[in-house]
Amino acid sequence: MSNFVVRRLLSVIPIAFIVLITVFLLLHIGPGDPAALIAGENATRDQIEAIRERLFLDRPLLEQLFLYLSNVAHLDLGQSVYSGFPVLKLILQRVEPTAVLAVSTLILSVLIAVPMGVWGAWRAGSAIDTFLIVASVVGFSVPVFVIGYVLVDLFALRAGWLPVQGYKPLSSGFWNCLRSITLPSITLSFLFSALVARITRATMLEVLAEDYIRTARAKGANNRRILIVHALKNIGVPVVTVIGTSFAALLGGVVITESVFNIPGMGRLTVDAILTRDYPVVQGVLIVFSFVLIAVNLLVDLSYALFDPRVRQ
Amino acid sequence: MTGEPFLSIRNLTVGFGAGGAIRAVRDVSFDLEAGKTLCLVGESGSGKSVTATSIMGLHKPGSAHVEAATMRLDGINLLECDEREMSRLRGSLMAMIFQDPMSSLNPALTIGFQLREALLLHEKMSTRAANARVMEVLQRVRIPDAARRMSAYPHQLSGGMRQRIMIAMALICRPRLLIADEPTTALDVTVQAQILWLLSELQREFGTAIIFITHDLGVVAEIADDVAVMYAGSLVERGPVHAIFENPAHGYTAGLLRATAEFVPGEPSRGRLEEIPGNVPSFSMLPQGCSFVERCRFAVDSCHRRTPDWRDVTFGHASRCDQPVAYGPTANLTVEVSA
Repeated sequence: MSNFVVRRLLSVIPIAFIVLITVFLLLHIGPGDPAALIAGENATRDQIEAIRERLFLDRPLLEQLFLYLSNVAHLDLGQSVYSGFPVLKLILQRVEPTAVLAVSTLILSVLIAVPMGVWGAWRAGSAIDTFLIVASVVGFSVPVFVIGYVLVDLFALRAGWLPVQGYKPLSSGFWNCLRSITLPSITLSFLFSALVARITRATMLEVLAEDYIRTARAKGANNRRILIVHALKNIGVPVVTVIGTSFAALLGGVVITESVFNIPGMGRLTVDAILTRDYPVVQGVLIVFSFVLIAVNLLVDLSYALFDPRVRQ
Repeated sequence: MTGEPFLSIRNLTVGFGAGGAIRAVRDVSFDLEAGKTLCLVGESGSGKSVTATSIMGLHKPGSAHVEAATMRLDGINLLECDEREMSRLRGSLMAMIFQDPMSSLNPALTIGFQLREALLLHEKMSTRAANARVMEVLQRVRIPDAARRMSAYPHQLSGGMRQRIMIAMALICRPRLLIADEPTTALDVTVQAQILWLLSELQREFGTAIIFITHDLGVVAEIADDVAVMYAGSLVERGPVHAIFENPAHGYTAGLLRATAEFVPGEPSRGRLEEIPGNVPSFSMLPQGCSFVERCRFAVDSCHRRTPDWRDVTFGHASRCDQPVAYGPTANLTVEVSA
């Protein structure tokens, strides 16, 4: 067991390096002179040279890489070209809304999707099952911004139950924060819960056809017991896997949702940085998102041991 | 004690598909006395497992149409039981073990949990008392180091060990009927013999009636009291094991016996095995007359015209063949009839 954990933890190190090197190279892979790109179209020659020197772009590539890695190791992600603030500070300012949005969407989606998928599989072929399939296809297909604006129109503008946009930080009180994040979370969970529900249903169908489910019935276990005791633990691995892998899609959705609801989070920071060609900020954001994904997938892998005793060895 | 047999099946018909159109089991009738072993014999797809699954009520809800004139077990009319009553009977009065013990055990739950559950579903007792019963039954089926196996998972055990666990799980509530669906097919030959021996020992001890499904006539010779031979969804011959082996009265039974190898150390081999020509007909394309007619070496004109009725050969031995004398004593196997 501990062997498995240690092995899995060690495997994170090379992945982290690959991410950092890729992020570093992004600036150099693109066409043209990175210094000129950062300086913008109307920059003078002197301005471009100043940027080149400030960002060490005149040094050999390998030296630049080591400088970069050493800076990242010291939590120095550089300065914003646009505002001059340290990138780390900019990111830390924006982390909370995004984290709150992602976590609340994750919880909401799992609470909706897993029972939905289990129920659909249990009543496979029924009208309810068909409805759930259609619902998840719709949830998966309709763009996030469409769902967002429709929800805002219904629940904020017409009903007036929830704020139209904006974000109240946790420091303003838990309920305030929750109210401001409700519509964005629901919007984003359409996509995510559709993905999870489909995999849950498919896996559950497979598990229910297994021989050990027949054994459980032969023992005299009733339907509810079969679902909860014998089937649920066996769908754990595939369901947690899809939650982990589609977490990337969730982060993609965060960017759009933050724009729709005017939430000052990491997504907005990313979009703004890309539009202003603020490369150090783009790189910093990429590193943070990548590391979050690595951490989520590490947790997913570790959770396998919880569901499947065969992994523990 | 009434005159009623312990298990009595009359005219069991099971259909699948829309309106039960594909009839996998047709008009099957047999009785089983308490403490006896009935072997259901036949090729894959002949309807043996479907028959057994129907007695247990284990078909997926809505997938099978089960009809019968009588289906009584220990005085209980199984046809009138709803799902709740059936799940109360399953595991307590009747239990079942399956072909593949690996896939039949839940990979995510410990052996101890799965055994304890089988007990606690039917008997109210403390976990402590249940654990004691589990330990007892594990020792009964000769699981070495039983205390340690309780916390093991199925993948940590060997195939033979897993089937012992399945047997322990089936017998823990002392059911009066055990249905064993090819329980030794997936096991090594040496392990097979141990499992068969264990089953007959437990049967003697608990007085369990056993329906043993197999296509292995060697196994039948070991354990059966009575034999019922199935072909294409119907019973074609039934009777005491020695009568069937010594004097088969149906072309299919005779063919099965000729196709069975026997090796006696020190004796020369008895020549080539004979195969039964052709394949089992599909349920939608059964021939006119006797369903075995196209593969039968002894078929005459009348066999093509009408489906034969049951015909008594000797007392308790009957076959559904109009030419039951044609086959002669073909028994390839020696039957040890235990006294």
